[in-house]
Amino acid sequence: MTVERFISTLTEAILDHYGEGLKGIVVSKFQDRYLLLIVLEGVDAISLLMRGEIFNYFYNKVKRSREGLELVEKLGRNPPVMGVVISPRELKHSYPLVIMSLTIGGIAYDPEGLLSSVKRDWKVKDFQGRKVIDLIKINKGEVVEL
Amino acid sequence: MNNSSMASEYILRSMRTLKESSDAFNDGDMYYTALRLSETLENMSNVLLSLYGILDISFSPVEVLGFLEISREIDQKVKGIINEIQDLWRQLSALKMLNESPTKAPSVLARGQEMKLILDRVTSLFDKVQGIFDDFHH
Repeated sequence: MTVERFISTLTEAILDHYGEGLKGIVVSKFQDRYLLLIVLEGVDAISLLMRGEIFNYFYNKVKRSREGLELVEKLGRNPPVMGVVISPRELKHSYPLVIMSLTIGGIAYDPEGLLSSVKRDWKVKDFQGRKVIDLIKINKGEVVEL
Repeated sequence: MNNSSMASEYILRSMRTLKESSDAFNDGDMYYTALRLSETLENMSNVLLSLYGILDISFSPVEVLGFLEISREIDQKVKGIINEIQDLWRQLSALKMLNESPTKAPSVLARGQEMKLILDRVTSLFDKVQGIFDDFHH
């Protein structure tokens, strides 16, 4: 098993469990770590902290499978994969993390086109070897809904 | 340096960040509670790694605990503690990537009583890590 295979097994496990409740997945890579943005219906009332347990449940399920354990042994560490669960409603609230994921990551699952409807043409720019997203040009005194 | 004094240094650092977690919690600041708690888990991981002679050079001590598990003779109790450190860290690190200002009701980053439970779990893990440190020398 590779880390990429770990991620696809993990997303399949989430899809098997939630079926139509799963509204989208974005996979992105920050430095040496993968981030999964998981869009799930009906999680608005669960705090973002407690949604971490939802992700941990699936993460550990795949990690503790025979192939998962082999991967941990091969890597010498846990697969570097993090997960954030958000609701379709929150998807529209322009979290920096959502903008980042949609800009540098790839949409892996988007059955109703929710993710592609939120994604805009944000531009990544290099500045002295570092990267920024140049969201919008704002003049002094302007307050803009991003 | 020696492994024991290095581990003690990380115990001190853990105490510092745990205290700051508590301060942030008492101020009602859930984001910084999460941030300082995840730092505490990183410091605690470095206690275990340095005790057993492992130097993390990827600035990711929690993830590297897996190497401790596969390369050293450690008992089931320590493995249980490692798993709990890793699970809590993954949960708190996800929160670190989020922002409070775009959050609109009913969405919430973390509720006080939930964070209190996590704070208590990390505090109890810290006691256990100190216990491992003490056992190591006896």
